[in-house]
Amino acid sequence: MNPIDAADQLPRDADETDLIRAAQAGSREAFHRLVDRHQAALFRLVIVRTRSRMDAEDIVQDVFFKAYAKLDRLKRNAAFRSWLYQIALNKIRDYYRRRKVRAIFGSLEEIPEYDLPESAQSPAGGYRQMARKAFWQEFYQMLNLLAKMEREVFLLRFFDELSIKEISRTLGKGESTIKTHLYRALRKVRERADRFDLKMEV
Amino acid sequence: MAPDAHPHLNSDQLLQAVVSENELTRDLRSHLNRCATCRLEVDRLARRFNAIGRMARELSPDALGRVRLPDRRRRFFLGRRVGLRPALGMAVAMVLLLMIALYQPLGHRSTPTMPAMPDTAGLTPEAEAQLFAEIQALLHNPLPNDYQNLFGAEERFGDVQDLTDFIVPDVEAEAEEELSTSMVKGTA
Repeated sequence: MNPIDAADQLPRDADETDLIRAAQAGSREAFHRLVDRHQAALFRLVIVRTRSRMDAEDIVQDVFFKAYAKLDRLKRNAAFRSWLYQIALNKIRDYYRRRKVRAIFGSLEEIPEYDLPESAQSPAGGYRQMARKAFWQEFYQMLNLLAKMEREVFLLRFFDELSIKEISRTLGKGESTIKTHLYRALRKVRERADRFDLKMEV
Repeated sequence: MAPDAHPHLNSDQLLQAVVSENELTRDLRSHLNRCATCRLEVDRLARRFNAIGRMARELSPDALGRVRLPDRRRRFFLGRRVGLRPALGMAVAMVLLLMIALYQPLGHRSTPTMPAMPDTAGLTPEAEAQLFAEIQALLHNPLPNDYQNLFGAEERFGDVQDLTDFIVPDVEAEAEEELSTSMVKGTA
């Protein structure tokens, strides 16, 4: 049987390693299943850093296309998520280089009004929109306290939920370096984090 | 159980524990494992940071569409998806343009080229002044010296003038001549 056909016979709950192996053998179906598993998290990773829905969707698409094209270069299948995030961060870096935007988290005026699932016309929707806006203001102000690397490590750890080992692979730095950056970041945001909670309760 | 002689973890040590408990010294680690107060504080801090991340995830917008690989029949050109036929057309057009740009007619009939110009960059000021004087002289009179005196200017223009007068007589000169003749006759 053709290996590509064989790969498309994978069960619905196929292991990620099997999907990667099948995708490496040329199965588009297997790759689409990998996309479905990672797209939401990858989109969040990109949009929180670019703050633009359109650009985030373009970047996510580019990331997956590039991943598909270079999949044979992935040596350790277990590191797929780190590898994907590494491509995404490089794309975001390219995006900012291209756009020559001052910094990843610039002035607050640049925070986009994200599309809300609730109707802004209804009181509940309006309240939620306000709360959401307040949250993002507080969130970006908190991130502005951090140096570039501290910010990246903080986001990868608590927003993107990567382990220290995965962050180390994604950023290509040693684990002790990652821990140092994370520790510095936590020291800086500790007090801010208290205010954060209060603001959200309001 | 004997009371723990080690003091509680300070705020920085608590943060270190949030990052990685392995980063703490053995004494601090063993204290953390025994001290409910310190353990609660480490957990509280970790929960707070995790809560910020979770809130951010929940408030992030969702992607609108699912990413799918492009159709195999389609290709990309300059970041845009194009069909195979337009891509082939573009490739042919580019090859043709390249051929036109590099076209050399057969039989070594190369396109005329400008004669090599003298390099004036290294001239001394005197030589440059002389060059400019020669250029000015050529502008004034481009005929080389050897050809300047082949014919005398008078002779040359005299002959030509006589010939012209013979073919196309000067009406005004003739009228003037007739007038002067009649005046002479009249006076005579």
